[in-house]
Amino acid sequence: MTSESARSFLGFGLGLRPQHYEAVLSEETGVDWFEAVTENYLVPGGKPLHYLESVRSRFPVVLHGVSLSIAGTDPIDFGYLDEVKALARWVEPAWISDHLCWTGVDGRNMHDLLPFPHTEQTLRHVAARVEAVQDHLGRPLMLENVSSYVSFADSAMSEAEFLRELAQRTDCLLLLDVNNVHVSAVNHDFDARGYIDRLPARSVWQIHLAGHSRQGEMLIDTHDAPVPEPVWALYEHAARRLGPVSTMIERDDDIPSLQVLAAELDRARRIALPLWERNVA
Amino acid sequence: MSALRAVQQQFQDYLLRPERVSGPETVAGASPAERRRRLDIYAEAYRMRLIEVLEGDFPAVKGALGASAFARIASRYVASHPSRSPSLRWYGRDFPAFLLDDAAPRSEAIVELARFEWLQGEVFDAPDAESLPAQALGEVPPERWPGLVLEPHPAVQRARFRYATPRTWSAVMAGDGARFETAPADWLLWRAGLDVHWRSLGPDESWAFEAMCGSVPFEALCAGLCRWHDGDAAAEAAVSMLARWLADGVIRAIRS
Repeated sequence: MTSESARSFLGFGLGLRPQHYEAVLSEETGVDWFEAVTENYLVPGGKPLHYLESVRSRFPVVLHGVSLSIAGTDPIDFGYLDEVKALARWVEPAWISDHLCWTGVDGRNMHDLLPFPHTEQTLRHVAARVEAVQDHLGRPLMLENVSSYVSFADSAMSEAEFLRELAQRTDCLLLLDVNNVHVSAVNHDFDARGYIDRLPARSVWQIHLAGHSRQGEMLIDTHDAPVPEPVWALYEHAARRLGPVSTMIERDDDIPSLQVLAAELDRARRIALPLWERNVA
Repeated sequence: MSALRAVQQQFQDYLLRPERVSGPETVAGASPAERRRRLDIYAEAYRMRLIEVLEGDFPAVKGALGASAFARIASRYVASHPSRSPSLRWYGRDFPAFLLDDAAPRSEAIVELARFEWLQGEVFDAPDAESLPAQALGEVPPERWPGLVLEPHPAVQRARFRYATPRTWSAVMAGDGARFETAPADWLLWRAGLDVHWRSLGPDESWAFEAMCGSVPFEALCAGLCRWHDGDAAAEAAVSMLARWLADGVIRAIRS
């Protein structure tokens, strides 16, 4: 299921945002596919579901969640998963992703992608939950690396090693957020290229590109700015190392027009396609 | 309790009460100050994210109160209302009631404004259903009219406001400032196409709409409208209301 030959390549995409609904359906932008934030569509009806239906009928769509809390220690929320499953039944996403993080304990949701220590114990814990989720959904789960501002003294492996082991043990897929690698590399002083080199290439099925902001010596994952030069450089490294991987720009705030984002996405094409010309027709 | 759970509880405690706890001891850092500086990025983001959600759901309340007063009240709400839902869509559900308890001036009118904004959200993404077309009434045989029962569209809401709250909302959103005029009335909110609409209801129509939602048959509806209309005028008023409801798209089905 995760062999490189089986990896779906959707091309170059964007995060689906409400302010772009009409433009997505009426303008020629060359955007190949869209990623919808799962929770935004877990509503009974109305405009969000109407536009998601229209978009999915014209473009490949993937679902990207923020509330799975795969590394959490509360019981897995199967009610939430049932809602995701019902949404996926009619959206028919190419895949379903969430984040390698936890979002709250004791029934609370901090609505953030929170870090945890990377140890053999936490790896076993997360792997068991990934398998339970994959069994429930009846499909592989894709997990994204998050930006972080703290690390833990008792971590026994790097996040990249953790992801590599997790993918090997569970056959889950990986979503590489290149900006998040850069942000965490600056905040924790590690080698971003080495991080990408340690990932199992065949498991990486999607790439996020985004911008960030600076707060003193720290980089903050704000996703509210154009993709900066260090992230483009790291993307080129990832594209060379990983081969053809569906790539998209994820912009969450200060969102410009669809045309502006589509033009930014063209830069990803110009970087990656020459590297992949033997693999992508 | 596993070590991971203990770390997560300490981490979450820090996000909820950064001034009172120190966070997990295993967070790496050259000094306690550096650990706190890093944890504070999460704590501040948590607070700001939820305030932004409230700003998005209650833009007219923010406009009426002013940005800084809104931020103060929203901060208190965030401090006392941790989210328990996977989706932020429902985070502001208790905000209108919270405003009532808050010491804000004009709180009763502000609460109404908040209730109105939350109701708009409920109409906005309520379940989808086809509305009955206007010509449907013409297809009902005369002998079935007395027993006619109507089923409202699931996106319809009816609300009673003491102030001219929907007009206040429009004024604030247009940048004209908030004026809170006392004007008790019932209001109907519904979805036409994908957009939220509303209009005020007279006392007769408000009563009739509530009766209709309670499955009162058409004959009883006409009888009830005699409180406001004489004789045949009651039936005419009922038919006229039905036609308007169908034109607005607030009826899902007719049963008889």
